[in-house]
Amino acid sequence: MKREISDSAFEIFFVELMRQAKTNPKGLPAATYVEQIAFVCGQKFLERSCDKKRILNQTELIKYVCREFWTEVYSKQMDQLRRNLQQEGNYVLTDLRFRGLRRFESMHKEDIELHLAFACGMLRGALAALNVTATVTAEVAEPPACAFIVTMLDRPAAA
Amino acid sequence: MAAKNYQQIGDLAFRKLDRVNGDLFCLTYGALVTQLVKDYENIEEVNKQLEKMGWNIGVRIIDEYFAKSGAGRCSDFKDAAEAMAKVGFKMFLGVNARTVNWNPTSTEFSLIIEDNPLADYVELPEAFARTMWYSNLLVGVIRGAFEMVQYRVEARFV
Repeated sequence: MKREISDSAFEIFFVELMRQAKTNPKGLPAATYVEQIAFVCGQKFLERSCDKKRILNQTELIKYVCREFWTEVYSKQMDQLRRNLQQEGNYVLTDLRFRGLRRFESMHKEDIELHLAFACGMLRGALAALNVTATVTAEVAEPPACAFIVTMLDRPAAA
Repeated sequence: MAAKNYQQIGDLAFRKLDRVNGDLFCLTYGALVTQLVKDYENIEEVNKQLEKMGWNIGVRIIDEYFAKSGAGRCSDFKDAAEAMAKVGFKMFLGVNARTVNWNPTSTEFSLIIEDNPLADYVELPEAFARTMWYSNLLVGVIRGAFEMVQYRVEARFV
């Protein structure tokens, strides 16, 4: 049976993670610190939960990330997936009720940035575990909706 | 006075709370520990930092405990320890814990956590196995939480 912990425990832990990021001894920008941690986490997460042999092409890969992966991490699927037809390997993944923004009205701007950095790192890590090098950035036009822009830098092995 | 059934309270509280994938926690924790090793370059310092982070979590989580557990106040240290083990650990981490080996004056005990949720998938490299307290966050959480209910404690792994 899949292990669960309480949402509030993870949130309180995450607040502490953010505090550590903001005061890290090497002086890394907090968002970079959080993104790096999330990258490692996302990689390992995907390796644990995904049967990679079943992903046969880029379309299935991005759908897996939007559906199964995002659900494992954020308890829901991405709501929209758009691809940039002019540029292969560019996608916009939108979560209309991003969990990281559910209390956006009372969040400091910096904490919002760190929640987004975590999500971007998780996505980047998951993609890396699927042999895709990508950059992931987040755009929030209308919280709690959030768009994640994925720019793949390689061509993956299968078309 | 009937003993409260902390086991039941803990189980119920855990079921009622929103939950997330446990892997998210242990994998984030693992990545954090890895980062801390890079940050501090000294395992003793990493242990200390984990304990400090845990303390910060402990002082905050106690409010959540009182708000959501339905367990009420504790009568003495032994009662508080029982509540922490059976209710606290269960409702937040979904794990069973118990207090054992109480000393005659009821001021010292051992806490046994069945199935440490932080240590899933973890293997410590040989170089760290003797010096790193990987789950030291929990030690800090315990110390911080107790301090908020007016008990100053020392906690350590054995």
